[in-house]
Amino acid sequence: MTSLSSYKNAKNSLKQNYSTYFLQIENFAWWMKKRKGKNTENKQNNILKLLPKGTSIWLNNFGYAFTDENPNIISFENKKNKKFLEKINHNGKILYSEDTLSKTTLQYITKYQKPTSVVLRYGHQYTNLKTTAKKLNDIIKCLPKTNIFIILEFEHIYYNRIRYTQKHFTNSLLKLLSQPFKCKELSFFDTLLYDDIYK
Amino acid sequence: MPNINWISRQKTFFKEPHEFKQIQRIKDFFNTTKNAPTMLLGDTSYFDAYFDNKVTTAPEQVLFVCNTATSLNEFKQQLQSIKATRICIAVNKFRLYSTQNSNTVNSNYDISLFDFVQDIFKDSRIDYFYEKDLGDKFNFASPTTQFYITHD
Repeated sequence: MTSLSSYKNAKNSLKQNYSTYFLQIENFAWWMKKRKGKNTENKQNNILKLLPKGTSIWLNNFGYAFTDENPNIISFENKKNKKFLEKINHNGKILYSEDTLSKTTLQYITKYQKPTSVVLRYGHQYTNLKTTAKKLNDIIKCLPKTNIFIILEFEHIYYNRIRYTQKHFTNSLLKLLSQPFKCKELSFFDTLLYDDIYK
Repeated sequence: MPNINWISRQKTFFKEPHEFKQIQRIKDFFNTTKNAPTMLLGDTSYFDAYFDNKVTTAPEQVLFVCNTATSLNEFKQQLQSIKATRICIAVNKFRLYSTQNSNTVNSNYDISLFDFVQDIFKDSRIDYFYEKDLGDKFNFASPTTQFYITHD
């Protein structure tokens, strides 16, 4: 394996090379649509049925694509995606934030948007059980009096898949959360946690 | 947009020609033996042109890219069916799943995954590569968890 040292300096860092996306906007738009399609199949349609009446905030979760089904949806997307999202046709309302799951953004949402529901997906942070529980509890704390819908994306959560089942992870997580949630399987790798204080 | 594999698609996001590190690692591993009878298993379309002598039986070497939802039982069976002197297994560890808890395995996922593979290829040399932070490494286009198995 001596040739390992001869690797090219691969430009494989999204973070470092984000600006180069602008040069390939067509491809990125294609990718975003593909992602949206992937997520749309089961996840969002199932959630739409569970939403209470009133404003629904979708955090970094393609909410702008579902305003035909529910005109009360408002999307919060990461600011870094703004240029890309402006290139994609949709009728939804999008607000932008540096970090859609930050305390500041969540407090702004609670104070000024007064949503009856907030939908977010969790997994891209590549966290383990305890960190996931801590971060979700921080989010829950910032969203009082709101129906919270959390999509656990197991394709992105780091846990020992040889030692534990996905169900075990979910059940363990539920025990660590600061409020009770119901569970619903949206797709093989996606589990929805939700409460129903307004129902 | 033409229907091309994810690796090629994601490479177009960048202006400069380049190769992902995990892909280059595979190419380096097979660099001197790409004329040998090679069996390609799984999500390997990106490598179709790289190997000169692709076979479906009696391979000398095997490249297996596991990038779909796969149970541990399936994965084990797939690995057990591979008989060759040089083997590369690239697996998306986020798409593996188990159907029952197993409290006896190592608590560290990366180590327990290595133990899992080593248990199947007991008498082989295994070089193991994995990434801790996957958020910016295109793991889902091309798995960054890789096992390079050789027989002395």
